[in-house]
Amino acid sequence: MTASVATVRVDPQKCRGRMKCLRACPAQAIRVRNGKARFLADRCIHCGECIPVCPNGAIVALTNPFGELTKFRYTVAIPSPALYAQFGREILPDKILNGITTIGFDDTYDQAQICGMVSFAIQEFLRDHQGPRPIISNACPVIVHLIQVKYPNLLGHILPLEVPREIAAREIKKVKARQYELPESQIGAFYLTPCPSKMVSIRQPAGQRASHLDGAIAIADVYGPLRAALESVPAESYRRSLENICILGIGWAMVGGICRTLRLRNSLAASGLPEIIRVFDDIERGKLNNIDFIEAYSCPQGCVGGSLTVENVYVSFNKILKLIETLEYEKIKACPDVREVRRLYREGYFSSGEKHEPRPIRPLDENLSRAISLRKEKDALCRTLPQIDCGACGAPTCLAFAEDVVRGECAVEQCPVLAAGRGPARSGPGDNALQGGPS
Amino acid sequence: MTLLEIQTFLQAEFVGGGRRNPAEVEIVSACGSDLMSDVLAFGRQGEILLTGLTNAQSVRTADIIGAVAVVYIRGKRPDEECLALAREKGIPLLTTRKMMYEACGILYSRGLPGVGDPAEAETAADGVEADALTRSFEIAGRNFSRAGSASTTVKDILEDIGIDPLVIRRVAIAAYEAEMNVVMYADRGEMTLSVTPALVTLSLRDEGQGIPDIGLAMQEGYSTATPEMREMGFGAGMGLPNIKKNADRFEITSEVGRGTNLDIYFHLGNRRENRA
Repeated sequence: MTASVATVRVDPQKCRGRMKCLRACPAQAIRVRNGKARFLADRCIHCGECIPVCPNGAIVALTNPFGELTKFRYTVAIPSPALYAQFGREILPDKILNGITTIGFDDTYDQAQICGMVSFAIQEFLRDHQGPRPIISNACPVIVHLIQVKYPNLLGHILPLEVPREIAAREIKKVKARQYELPESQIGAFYLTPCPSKMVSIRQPAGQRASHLDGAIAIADVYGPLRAALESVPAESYRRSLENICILGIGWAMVGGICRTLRLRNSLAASGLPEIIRVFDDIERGKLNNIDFIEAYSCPQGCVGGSLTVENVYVSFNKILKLIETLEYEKIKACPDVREVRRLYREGYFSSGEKHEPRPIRPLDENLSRAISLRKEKDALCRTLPQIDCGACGAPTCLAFAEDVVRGECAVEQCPVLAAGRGPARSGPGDNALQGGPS
Repeated sequence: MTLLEIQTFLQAEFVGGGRRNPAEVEIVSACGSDLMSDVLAFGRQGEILLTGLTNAQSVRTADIIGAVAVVYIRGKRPDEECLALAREKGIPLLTTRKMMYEACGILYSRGLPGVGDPAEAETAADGVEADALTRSFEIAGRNFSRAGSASTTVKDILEDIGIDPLVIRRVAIAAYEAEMNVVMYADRGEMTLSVTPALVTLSLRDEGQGIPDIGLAMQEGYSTATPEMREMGFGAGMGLPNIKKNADRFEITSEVGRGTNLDIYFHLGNRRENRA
């Protein structure tokens, strides 16, 4: 067990062992031992659900601090389209992008444009695709982790195109290196991120390739300075700013945005881990073979619901939705040229070097016979536990505690309810706590 | 080692069952026992079974674990029922005059391995009954809100044990289809999961309307689903055929007005390959 994973860290000074994270973790990847929260690294899917629930602010996202900008000669901010949803309805992306260049970045790159290109590339890919269906969007790294850990059979369903943030970083570095005659290593590309999960793909790439991004800065961290800066950014014509918005691109900020703006007929959009798990179960059972494409986000409502955003998720979701509706009504389509995208697609511009390997949770034992008897031991032990999943032992459920005991990671005496002399409350192993959730 | 080589080493004679060219039948390991429960627990796919048990149980066991052929020792000959079943299953039956100890010794010295390394055998030596994990789940008929929960738990248990994900997927699909059949057509039912290092078994027993014509029910596309079930995405007539497709072995019996029994088997094959 460890005090940090690639996305988050527990500050031992602040952690009081109050169990909120333990209960919020959908992957049962947190234990509280000796009064401090710890992570089971192989179970963590990097969703960041533990961050906002901590009453002591002890769980810290491992995004990059602003100070790291000084390491580079030239810096570019690549904002997630979710950033555009953080400000009032009259503040359009143009103004926000202008604001970013006044708070410490040399330049900024509208990732929504690349998102729009990737949307078209998805359309191209789906048209020729002969393999397993439905294809699952890879935009949300948590979804990719969930599949690696819990649904290895669905790895072949993951969209094999590069994610927009990587393409954006790759391209802007090329352009700026040429423009300023600098080596690409001197150009820092920073993603303005709505969630900590993107740190994993930057820090420890899942595949064989290294990330083009040099770091990620939380939207929550740039929000304050940016908000102040926006007051002195001169207002442009509303109509002209609207005309600069790629409708396909801003769709990436919210769940369903890709499908809606591409008008994909056989598609499905789902957000929130419990719902995603139901959808993935159905895919595994072969019930959704008639669907072509699934947009799936770990955060409720998509990236606008990320744990590092500021605005209320319903307000930010609504801003993107209204913007899309306005652009549809006004028939404004500042989108990339689809023929150009087709040419680039054929040239491999969107190909991803990333191959996702299964990352199954460590079984009870490498030896099948021993694993079977350990599972029996675990069930038998669980039947003697109180079955109330109180979490006071430091494990999220009685079944998880039983597993920790048979794995030799803690002693059965650590169950305070048993220690207080209360016998088993119910019979039957408590598998219910597992149902519908990664275990 | 081919079946022809084994036949030569043991001076064995073909006595019936499945007719295959012995030079083309590849055998990967051997298991010698008269206790079929031991064979079920430790046997594995691709092996040859040496036994003194000559009734149909020997062939049924060989079929479940995926054994390629059966050799009867001490000159024993299988009975009629046994021969008929072996013909149906395509399993060649042989007989040798050697005793069990010698027959096994000859094959072992020629390099045909047993079912596992000593360490695994030791763990397994606690006995078959102790080795199998079994769990039963109640399934409520016509309760769609909880439908699928038993299959989800089955999947969790198999993941916990570290079963090959490809096998888990097949078990999960079969378990789900079988569970949904109970939910849709029966008043109540029970699904029992049993896991040994060689075999995953799902048994379903339900009390309900039963199936009048199993042959018809096994046809792809045949369905008696109501419009209500179809609305929920079921009733394409793929349930039973889908279970059979995903299983290594599938048995169904049914009595109209009483209920239906399913036994679904999945081989875990070579344990080491499983880990890879």
